[in-house]
Order: sequence, then C-alpha cells, then structure tokens
Amino acid sequence: MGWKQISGRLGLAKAQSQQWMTDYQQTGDQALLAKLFMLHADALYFFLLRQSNAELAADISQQSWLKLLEQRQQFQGGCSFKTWLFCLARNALLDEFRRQQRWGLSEISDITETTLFSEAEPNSAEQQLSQMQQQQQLESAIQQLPVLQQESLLLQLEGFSLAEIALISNSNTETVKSRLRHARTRLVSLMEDKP
Amino acid sequence: MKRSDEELEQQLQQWYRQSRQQNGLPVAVKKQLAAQIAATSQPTFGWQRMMLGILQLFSWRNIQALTAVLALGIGWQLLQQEQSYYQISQSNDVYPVQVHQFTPQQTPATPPDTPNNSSGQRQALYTQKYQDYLQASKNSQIRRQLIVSRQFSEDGWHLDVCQQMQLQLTSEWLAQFKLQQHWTEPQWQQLQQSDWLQITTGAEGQILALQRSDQPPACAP
Repeated sequence: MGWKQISGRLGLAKAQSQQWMTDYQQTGDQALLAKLFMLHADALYFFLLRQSNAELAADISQQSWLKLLEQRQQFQGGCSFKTWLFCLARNALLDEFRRQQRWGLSEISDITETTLFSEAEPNSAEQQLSQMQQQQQLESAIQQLPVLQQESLLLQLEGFSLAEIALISNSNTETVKSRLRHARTRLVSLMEDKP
Repeated sequence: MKRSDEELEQQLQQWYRQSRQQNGLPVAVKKQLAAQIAATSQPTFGWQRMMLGILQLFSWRNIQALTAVLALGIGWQLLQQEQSYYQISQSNDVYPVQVHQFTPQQTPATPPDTPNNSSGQRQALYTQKYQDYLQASKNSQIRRQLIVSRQFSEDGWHLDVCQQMQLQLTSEWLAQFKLQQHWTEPQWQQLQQSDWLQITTGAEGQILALQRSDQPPACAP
C-alpha cells in the first residue's frame, strides 16, 4: 500500500475532524470534542509513547487535550486538526524534555546505500517465522534511529504528508525528506547487521 | 520503487499497525480524560479558566505522584505504629505476675519510679523501644535461664515459675516474638506442644529466647 492510498483513506477522517473542530469552535459542544478525542487519542498517545515512556506519554496526552480545550480559538484551520493537535503535543513534549534535559538530538550519521532481503520465497511456516523475526528486528532498528528521523518516520506512518510533518516538527519539507530517506537507509542497514 | 523498498514499506506499515493497536492510550487515562472533557464547558471566562487549571492539576502524572506520596505517608504511619515498646508490667496477687506485651508508641508505659505509678497495682517496670530490645537481645551480657511450665490462656500463655511468679505472654507479644525469631510453623508447633519451656531473660527481665524443655522445672521443695 503506497502513501497516496493511505492518504486517500485517511482523507475522509481528516475532513471529518476538520468539520468537528470548526463546529466545536463555534458551538463549544463537548460532544464534538469527545468525538475528536475518541478518533485521535490513541494515535497521539502512540506518537508520544514512542518518543518517551508510558507515564510521560499519558501525561502529555492529557496536557494536550486540556490545552486544546483552553486554546481552541487559536485553531485557524491553516492545517488539519490532527496536525495542530500533534503540534501542541510535540511542543508540550519538547518543553518536558527541556525541563528534564533529556532531549538527545542525535546527529544524522552517514549511511551507505545497501540492498536487502533475500529474493527466495520461503514456505508458509518459514514465512510466518521469518515475518515475526523481521518485525522484531524492525522494532529494534526503529528504536535505534536518531530521534528526529524516528519522529518523521512515525508521523509518516501515521499518515501525515511531508508538509504536515514539516509543520509538526518545525522543519522544512526538504529536511523531512532527508530524514525519512536516512531513516529508511539506516533501518535497512541495521536490519542487515542482525544475524 | 525497488522490490526491497516495497517489502520494507509493507513491514513498516504492518509493524506500525500492530504496535499502535497494542499501545493505545490506557483505558483508565482515556476514561479520566473523557470525563474531564465532558465536565469542562467553554472555558471562556476567568473562573472557567481557573477550573481548567484545577483540572490540569489532576493530571495523570500528578495523580500518580500524589498516590505515591500518600502511599509513602501511610507506609510511614504504619511503620510508626509498628514501633512498639516491649513492656513488662507487674502486679502482686498471691505472687508476682509479670505481663509481657508490646505497647504502641502512642501510649508509652509509665516509667518506673514515677509518683503516678506507685498507687496502681500494676507497675511498669520496663519500657524500651522494640528496636532497643532487639539490640539488647544481641548484646546482653546478663542472661538468666530458667525452666517454666506453660499453660494456655485466652490471651496467650501463662508461664509458671515454681509457683513463685507468673509470666503472662500476650498473644500480640507471642506473635511479634515469633516474627522476630523467624520461627517456622513446625518449630512453632513443637513449642506449642511442650508443657515445659526454657526461657532466657536479659538484664531487665525481658525474654530473649524461648525453647521447649524436656525437663520439668527444678523447683525447691
């Protein structure tokens, strides 16, 4: 499934969220906010969880939603609701990291181009086992990615466009592209290094 | 797109879907937040903003921190309560009766030789922190051993010292002593079954050890 397909599938939810948020701004109807919460709470939490820990992710999630309550008039509609929400959350997380002084902005290391994966088609049982192993390797490899690369990758997997990722991570699209490219190359390299 | 890239994309998406599904916002947090959202309406005015601020105080992390602090406080209180004094009080009936018990710190026994206790039959002879007692049991140089006969009572054990003195060990005292001595249940049962016990007392008369005796008390005729 390509990114265009994912984006298309998510487009409806995006438009719906936008409408709910606009209506919520105008009416203050908590039911609309509750709908937004139910739709995006897990995604936001997971994004925060991957970059912190369960306790902090839950706390920042809560802060973000309460901030949204407080600052709902600041949403101008220049970006999607979800992008705005993730911006709020990321800023809150950064503030917390700064407070704890644990924001390790790793330098993006040079990565050489490599090829990966065997061309051979394994049988079903082997395929399942192999898939599980690959998933574990992937999990481990993602954890080893530099923070900003991991962040861009997670946001892309969540369905954000390059422009949206740039907005959330306060970068430009070229930088995001570069991070994503490096992230994938690094992933391949890390997974190849595994026995 | 190269085949290997496609495979990586598939793996990434599969990993993301599974991982996100397995790591949703915890239900407890979700319920709490949903309740907060429902309870908060249009925080436009100052007081409403203040309410929101108060709600933010009850963040998940703050609640966890508060719970931890409360648990520590309760734990500390319990520890404080457990700091009991080993108390021996004595009354004179036909012969002296000593009651060995642990008294909570909040109600320390009246120390001996104070004006108030002279009128009462029961005289507090010895009060000491349990910790001091444990230390004393290790360091005590003055020890005395005697064999006593034991009878069970509703409140614990009665130890008869040759019909010259009786020691009453309360159930609470026995429970504490059992803990302190690290007796296993079989050891405890053995002690329970014996009619005669050998006790070791310290300088202040406190019981330092209890064990079964095969010999009856050697009382003077």
